[in-house]
Amino acid sequence: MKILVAEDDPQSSEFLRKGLVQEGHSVECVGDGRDALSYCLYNNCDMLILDRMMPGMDGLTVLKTLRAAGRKVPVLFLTSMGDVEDRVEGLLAGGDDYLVKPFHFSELLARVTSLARRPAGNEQPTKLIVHDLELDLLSHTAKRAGVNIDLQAKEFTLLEVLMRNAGRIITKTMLLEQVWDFNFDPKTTVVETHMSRLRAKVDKPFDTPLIHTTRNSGYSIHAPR
Amino acid sequence: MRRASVFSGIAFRSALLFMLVFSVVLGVAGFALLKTTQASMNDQLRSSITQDFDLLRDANVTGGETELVKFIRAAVATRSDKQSAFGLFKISGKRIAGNIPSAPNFRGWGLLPTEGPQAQGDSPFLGYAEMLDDNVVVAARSERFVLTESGVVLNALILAGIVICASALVIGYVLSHGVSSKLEVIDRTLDQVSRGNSEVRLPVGRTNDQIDHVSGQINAHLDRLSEFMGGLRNTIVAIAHDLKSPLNRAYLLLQDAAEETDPSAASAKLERAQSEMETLGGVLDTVLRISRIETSDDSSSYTAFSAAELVRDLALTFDPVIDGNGQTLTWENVPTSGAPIFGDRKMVQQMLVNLIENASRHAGPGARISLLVRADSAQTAIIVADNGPGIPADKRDEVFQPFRRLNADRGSPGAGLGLALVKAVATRHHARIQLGDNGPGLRVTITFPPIPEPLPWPERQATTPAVITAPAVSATVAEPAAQP
Repeated sequence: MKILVAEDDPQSSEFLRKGLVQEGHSVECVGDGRDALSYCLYNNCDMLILDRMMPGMDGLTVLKTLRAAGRKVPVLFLTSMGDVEDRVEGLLAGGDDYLVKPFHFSELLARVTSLARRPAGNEQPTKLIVHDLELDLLSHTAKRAGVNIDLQAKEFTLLEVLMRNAGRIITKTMLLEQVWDFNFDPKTTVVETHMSRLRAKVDKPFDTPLIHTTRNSGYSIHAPR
Repeated sequence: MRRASVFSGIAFRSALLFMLVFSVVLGVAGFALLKTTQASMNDQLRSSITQDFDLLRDANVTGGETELVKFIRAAVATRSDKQSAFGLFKISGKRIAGNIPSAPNFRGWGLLPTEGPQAQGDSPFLGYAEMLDDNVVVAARSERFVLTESGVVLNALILAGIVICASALVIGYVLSHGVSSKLEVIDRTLDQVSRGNSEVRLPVGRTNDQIDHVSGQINAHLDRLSEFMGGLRNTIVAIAHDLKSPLNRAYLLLQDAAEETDPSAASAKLERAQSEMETLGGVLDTVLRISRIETSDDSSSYTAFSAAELVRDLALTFDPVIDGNGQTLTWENVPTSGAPIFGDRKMVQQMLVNLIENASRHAGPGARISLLVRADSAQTAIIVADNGPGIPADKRDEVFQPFRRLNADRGSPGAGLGLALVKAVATRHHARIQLGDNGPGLRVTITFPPIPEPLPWPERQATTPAVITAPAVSATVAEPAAQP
């Protein structure tokens, strides 16, 4: 995937370039908002990682101009402006995801991967299947190997988010945002506790575990490999 | 005090303006008065001359020229004031009698020539001349009276003008001096404040004039400013302390990792250093968030939402967590819907998460944490209560200060920010926080104001307000502890 990194801090920019290249992506870096805009307007790229505060033109204006010009390139904001209002502003301007500095590289990678595979259309599946686990979104029921699993509301949403991103790592922050609508990190073990309860219902009674933890990164669900 | 500042003061300038306007008015009014007085005195003079001439005419009728000569001689002799003059002349101009040296060259009213014995002083004589039979008869009186009286009036007007102008200048100077002194004190005090002395205050006089009123207002602002600066100073010190501990730990871990020969051990230390840095970031994020909540007045994100639904949702999230901590969370009495709040849902959500986590952290093992929602048509209250050790009544105000920890637990950076954020959110929503005794334990009640009109809450009229009674707690005392 060809990724443009628009970041004015050369150290951060180089860190991102190295990491993303290691993951097999092709990366271009610019340190000025106007350069980012002209690059996206006249070149093809698959994703834009955009800082908000940049010389030349701020990230928000870059994005608004791109969207006004009809460019649908997925945009991930990577910025130190992390307040609720800032996030809302970024997402309303047409940003696809928002990550606040300082960040774990694994968190960024998980979000980049999630954005890259986001379905282009608006088709909403009614049933999610991973290996022998089935989640019926209409009847709100879960079944594994034909056995009904009784899930609480939050456990159901948690499983749904994991299964919609099957095979990909979902970080704790992404889960807090998507399952609980928290844009802050609670001091208690909300994600860990709910994940442990979900595992006790989805994995424990069966031979093969489907939910996996990747240390320092997050969780993923996938069929045995 | 600088004299220039008195003369440039508004009171003195007003006095100058008053003086100027008054002088113009006095000049116009004085001129009119003078002219009216002169006209009146001229009328009087002419009337006296006419009366004299009537006497001359009577004498002529009675005895002709002889009687006229007699009358004139008697009149000249008896009128010792020398203000009257009479003359009897032949048509040829030859004087027959009287004290007017030459025959006038006019008939009717006219001024006599100034030279001659009749001219007493410098005043001209106004005369009336007429032919009686074959002679020219003249009666005249001096205009000195008119001129003297006009001079008196004029002098009085000038004197009045000088006295009033001088008084205006003196009063203006005195007033301006008073105002300038007060303003100079204000100027000096504010200068001291701008140089960092937040203790100085303006003197407020007993006259209670506008300057005293403004001084009082400025003092009140300075009080608030000092309080704010004091709080800010404490917060900065606390932030520095809270940031230094994890920074120091991260520094030591990085040092250790650099000297570590075993790559996996080095990697573990680097991870721990990273975690310490995350803690730092978290503290800064929370401080920034509190500051933003406290300073912003943007309410574009405000909506009407159900407190009951929000509390139930959070209860489902935290029930397993609290259960995992060996405690119990109860929320059975929270209704399934209703209890409207108008505000920023995410902010209120974070506020409640902080309260629940705070209760769980401090209530101790085996504690029971209860969530309650009380609503009536006027307001909605959310209550988070526990049966832990609680907070002594005299310490309840303190817990809302950033970085204030009652048990001096310095091991967990940022832990002293939870209730500061709660207070910031409550204040932003005009909600009232009460910390009460739950007998035993702490009972935090957040009371939100009624949602504003027009009703953005469709259920308000459609459903009966949910009034929920709190479970029996022994000796529940709700003491107002912190007013937002």
